[in-house]
Amino acid sequence: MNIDDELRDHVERETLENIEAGMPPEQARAAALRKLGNVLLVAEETHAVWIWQWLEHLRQDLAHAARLFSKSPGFVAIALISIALGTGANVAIFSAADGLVLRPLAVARPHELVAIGNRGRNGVFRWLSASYPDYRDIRARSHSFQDIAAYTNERVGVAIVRGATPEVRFATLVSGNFFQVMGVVPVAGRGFIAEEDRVPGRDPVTVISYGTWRQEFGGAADVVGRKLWVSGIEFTVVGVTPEDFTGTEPTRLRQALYIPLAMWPRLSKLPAKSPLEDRSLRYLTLKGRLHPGVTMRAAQAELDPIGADLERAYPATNKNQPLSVETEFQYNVERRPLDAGSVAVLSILSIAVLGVACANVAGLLASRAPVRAREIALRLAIGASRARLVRQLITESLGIALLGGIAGLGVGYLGILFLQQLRFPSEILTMPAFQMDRRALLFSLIIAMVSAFLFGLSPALQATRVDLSRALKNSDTSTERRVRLSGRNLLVSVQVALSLVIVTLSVYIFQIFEHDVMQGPGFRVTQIAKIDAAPSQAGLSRTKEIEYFEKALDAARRLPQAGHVSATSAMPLFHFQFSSLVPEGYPLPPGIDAIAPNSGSVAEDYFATMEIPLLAGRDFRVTDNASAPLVAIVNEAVALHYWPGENAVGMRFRKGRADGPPIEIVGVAKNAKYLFVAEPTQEFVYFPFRQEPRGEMTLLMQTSGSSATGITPLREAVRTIDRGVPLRDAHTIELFFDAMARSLGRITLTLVASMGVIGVGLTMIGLYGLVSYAVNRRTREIGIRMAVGAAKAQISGMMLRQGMAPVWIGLVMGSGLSTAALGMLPWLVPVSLRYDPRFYILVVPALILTTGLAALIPSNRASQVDPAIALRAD
Amino acid sequence: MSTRDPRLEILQGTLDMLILRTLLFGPAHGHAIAKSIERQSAETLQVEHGSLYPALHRLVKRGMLMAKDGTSENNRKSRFYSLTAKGRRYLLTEASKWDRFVEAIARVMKPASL
Repeated sequence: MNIDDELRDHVERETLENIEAGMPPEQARAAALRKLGNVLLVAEETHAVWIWQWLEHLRQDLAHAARLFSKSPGFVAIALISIALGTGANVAIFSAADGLVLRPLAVARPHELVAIGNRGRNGVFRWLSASYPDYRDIRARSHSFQDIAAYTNERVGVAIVRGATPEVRFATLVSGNFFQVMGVVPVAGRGFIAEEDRVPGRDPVTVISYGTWRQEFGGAADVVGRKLWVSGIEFTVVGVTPEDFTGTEPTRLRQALYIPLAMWPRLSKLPAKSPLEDRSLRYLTLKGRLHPGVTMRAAQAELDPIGADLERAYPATNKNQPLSVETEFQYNVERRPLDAGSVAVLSILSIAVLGVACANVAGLLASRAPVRAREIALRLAIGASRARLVRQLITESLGIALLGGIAGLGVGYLGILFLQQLRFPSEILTMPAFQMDRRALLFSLIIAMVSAFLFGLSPALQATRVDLSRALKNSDTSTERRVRLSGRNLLVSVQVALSLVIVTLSVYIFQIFEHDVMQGPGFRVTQIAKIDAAPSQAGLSRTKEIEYFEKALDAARRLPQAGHVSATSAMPLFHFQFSSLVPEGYPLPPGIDAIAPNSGSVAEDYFATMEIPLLAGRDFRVTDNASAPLVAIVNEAVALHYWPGENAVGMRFRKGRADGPPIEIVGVAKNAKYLFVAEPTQEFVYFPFRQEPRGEMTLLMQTSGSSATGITPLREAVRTIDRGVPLRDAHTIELFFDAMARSLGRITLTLVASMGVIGVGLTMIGLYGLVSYAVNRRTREIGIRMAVGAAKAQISGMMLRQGMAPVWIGLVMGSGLSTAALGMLPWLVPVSLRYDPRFYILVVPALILTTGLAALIPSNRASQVDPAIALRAD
Repeated sequence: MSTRDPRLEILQGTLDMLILRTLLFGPAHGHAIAKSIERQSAETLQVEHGSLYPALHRLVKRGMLMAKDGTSENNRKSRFYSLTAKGRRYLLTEASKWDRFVEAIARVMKPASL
């Protein structure tokens, strides 16, 4: 029975009594209520009794803790610094993880969204995608989902004013139900209606992003109904997405506008068949919203037979294409495996740092135990419950953890500021959002509490297990002391082990970047000016596009400062394109019908311009055009894989399928880096742009002087060819390479090195504390030794030796852990370099030196002990 | 709050004691406890019914009373309070302290005749 019922009962009884005493009923009840006083207040007060007691205890514990802490500022300072560094590192890394991989899309109830599709396979990338006909069928036949939306990203040319040079932007083509499924409510106008996505090509409507509204339309209030031109087609704005909806690819793409999928055929650069009818074209991402209560497993179980049906009905396109469903998180990890892997590695490091920090504080608490023992024994003796005391000690730990955590926010914020320096040098890309938001704050709170338990629980339980009589007598027997010391020794060993892991990983990562970034990515990174041109966005046909580039290359070559000039559709470290090819004469593994290597279309002279050596055969020529036989140039990796031991020149691919048109290999180029500066060897196939125009290319011009002086002439030369073709991202290759490779290396190395320094620093503090403690406790023994004739050097030597004992153990443990970590690293982030064990020669002695220094100072102090004073001491 | 009454309002600590005393004779529900105190003090002591319930819950918290739901004479569902052993012990110690306190005050107020 709760208090409200109790009070109601009371009032009824009083009312009855009043009535019996002669009062009329309404008066009776009124009198009863009056007597009770304010009913609500009474209920409140009664509830409050219970809360107050809990709060009162908390207040007492905190006051007690504060008193204790003010008496030992040194202990508090070290503890706070340790926790601040430990939590700060984790908050910074969490913000990286959140920005790159963890944060869900800014939609309603994101946990209900799942990704659906067939698993595409291309090298390191394997993610779910689907074709439009398959999407229609899946949507019609499945019942696990409230609805399923489909979308894909296309680069388009957008002009706000009719006839102006379009600018290249990313447009997201979405199914009509996209905004409903995502739960995104436009901040102006409306989303799409189903009717607008029904007839292919009929409804040129668009919902623009908040950023586009602000930048292109100046935030005009009348934006709904205004026109804009996308790839030459007039579109009408029907809505604006809210500010916090950053699109479906918030970590990379700046999605400027949303267009119904029905408009895909008119916007797509893909040849021939409409992308809406091609069941083999799997460029769509499907996101479904599960019905409440439907599990992933149930959804997968429903999709399996649907996938099987599709395989049976359309064997040409759907053979070996089972359907899968997975969470957003899994999808994110598969789309950006390098981001996920890097985050995983950084997280391991930051957790190790937290471990070292907590070990410090645990050691400190353990050493204070004898000081507290008396107080605790006393309280236990007069009847305090052990639970109450443990709660008090945990509250103290929580106090340290929370204060340290708040300081850690400052440290973490510095880390976040540093992360924000990452920049992608392109107008169509966006930065992942690294910020100190609610999620980061919540995370730091959790980390602080977890660390409080890590370092506080065991000492708390230990401390209250005190033998009352012995503690009250204030004796500190040698067995207890030894147990405490060995506990702290273990902690220091753990710290040393973790520090070794952190430093080893730091050195390895440094090695990787030093080798790959400093030594170069296999192509020229100085004195080249570049610019991106997108003739397909001006509506140019294939023939016209080829003409355009021929003229542009020509104009660039005539510039006075120009050296070699060329172009590529797949700028290294930036674009990711691939082709479907079947190598002739190579038995493909079962289930695989074609290979999908990275590829790019290039102009003649590309290899000379980028200084990539041709190892065999020839470069492309002007005569490799649409009417000539198809040719290609491969890199070493391709040649080695499919035609080992033979000359790849003269071998052939088939385009798309085993019976597709033949492509002859005319040259073999040296391997270079294509996607990521520290990647393992990748396969790459080059095509001549006249045979395989891809709509956009990056023009590259060697400059005799500084590359910066080449940018404007290059841009002007290209612009005059056709003012309607959008140009963007005119940079020097130095800036480009610095942003895409060096800064990434710099940022990663700084983060990792900082954690290394913090880890080692905290370990040094821990070891210093341990040896100091040992010296203090053994003052008497030292006095005796000196009195019977031990030399100063002997004493300090003994303390140093014993102080370093946990270090050796830690190094052994750490070596094992490091080997495991190094083995795991390439699995998380595929890298080019194997660890060089010769580096151990540097790392281990360095660690020994630093810890030795930390132990040396207090050991020295031991030799300063005056035996006369020591022997008199308690 | 109530208007100042010529009858005294009871302070909290003493209210606790009166409750315990009332329950010495057996369990009762909240309303009955209030009425009992008023009756026995010949209406001198006015219990603010509202302060009764927080006091009852506090005493339960401190382990002096036990609360149980039950049915009363006229088949109403009510919450009944009863003394625990701890409460009984407390009452005895406090009662003797109270007696001595009252005696001491009386001696000051009414000095012994010479």
